[in-house]
Amino acid sequence: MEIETGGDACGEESSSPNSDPDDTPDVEEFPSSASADSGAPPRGRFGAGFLQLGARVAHVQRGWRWLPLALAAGLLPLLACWPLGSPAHQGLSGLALTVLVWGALHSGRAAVGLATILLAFASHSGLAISLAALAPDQIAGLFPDGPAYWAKQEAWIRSGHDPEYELASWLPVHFQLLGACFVLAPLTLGLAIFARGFYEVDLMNVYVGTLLRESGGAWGALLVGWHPWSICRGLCYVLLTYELVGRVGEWLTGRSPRPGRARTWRVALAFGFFAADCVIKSSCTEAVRSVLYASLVR
Amino acid sequence: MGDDYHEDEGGGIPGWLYFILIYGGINLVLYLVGAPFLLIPIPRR
Repeated sequence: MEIETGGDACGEESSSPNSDPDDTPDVEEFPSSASADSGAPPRGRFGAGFLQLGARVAHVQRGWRWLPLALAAGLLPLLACWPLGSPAHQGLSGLALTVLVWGALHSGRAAVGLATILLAFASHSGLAISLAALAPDQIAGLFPDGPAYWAKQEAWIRSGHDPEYELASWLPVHFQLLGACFVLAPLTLGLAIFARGFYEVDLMNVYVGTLLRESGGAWGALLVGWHPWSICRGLCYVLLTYELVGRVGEWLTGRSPRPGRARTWRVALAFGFFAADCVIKSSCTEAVRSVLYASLVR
Repeated sequence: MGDDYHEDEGGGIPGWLYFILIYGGINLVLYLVGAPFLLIPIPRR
């Protein structure tokens, strides 16, 4: 959405954008204050409510405060669900991250928005991998499909054969994922993508954590356990979801961004990562598997 | 930027609460019909 803001959308923020240096957006393509004719009115009460909520969240995460909030979104739900053995943390982290992204979009801080997503997923992954490596008896409850996913990956690493790693098998799935993002990211303002993203990332985290445990902490497992093509895919959907939610946010709120090339570059980068995912996966699968196999059988 | 949009029309529920209710409803319906699970595949990593 990257809304022109700085004004008092919720009636609680200061009307002077320069009264607190922490409130100043850190990107150049959006103004730090809004003018009376800078955009159309929001679309009904729904759009106005979204604008109000975005302003409230943006106020909470102003300055550097976005950083602990991003960490909290990635870590706290998993920590809370750990003793309960519940997978609810994936949906809760997804919801918390979605709301934080709305705040970043409202204040036009694209760098903060993207860093929030990356930090939430990275911190969550670090904890999930550690749990899978150090407390394997906990993972069945926290990540119900994780052990089955590890079993399939282990069979692939040891045998070198898996029909799902053949181009004709995975390429249509990749395009389906791309299409799903274009439908669900705008429709749910990011929630479905982030919640499902935590679920899918956790499949990978359990796999990497178990691989580390089984290999005795081998460097190969640590370096390529998170496959390079998977990282490209993650970056693609971080950028794409942020932009798609931003576009819908603009439509809902009637706000418009300053002209600039940053958004075009981000979309181009997203498709670049999509292409890199496909190219690297089709060309480097066996090389990565060899490193993982060496780690596993050493 | 006019401030009229953040006023609650007719003294009803606050706009942000209205948004949460509608937004929650949309997501609940999508979840109940299984849209995220049907549309989002799980590619092998």
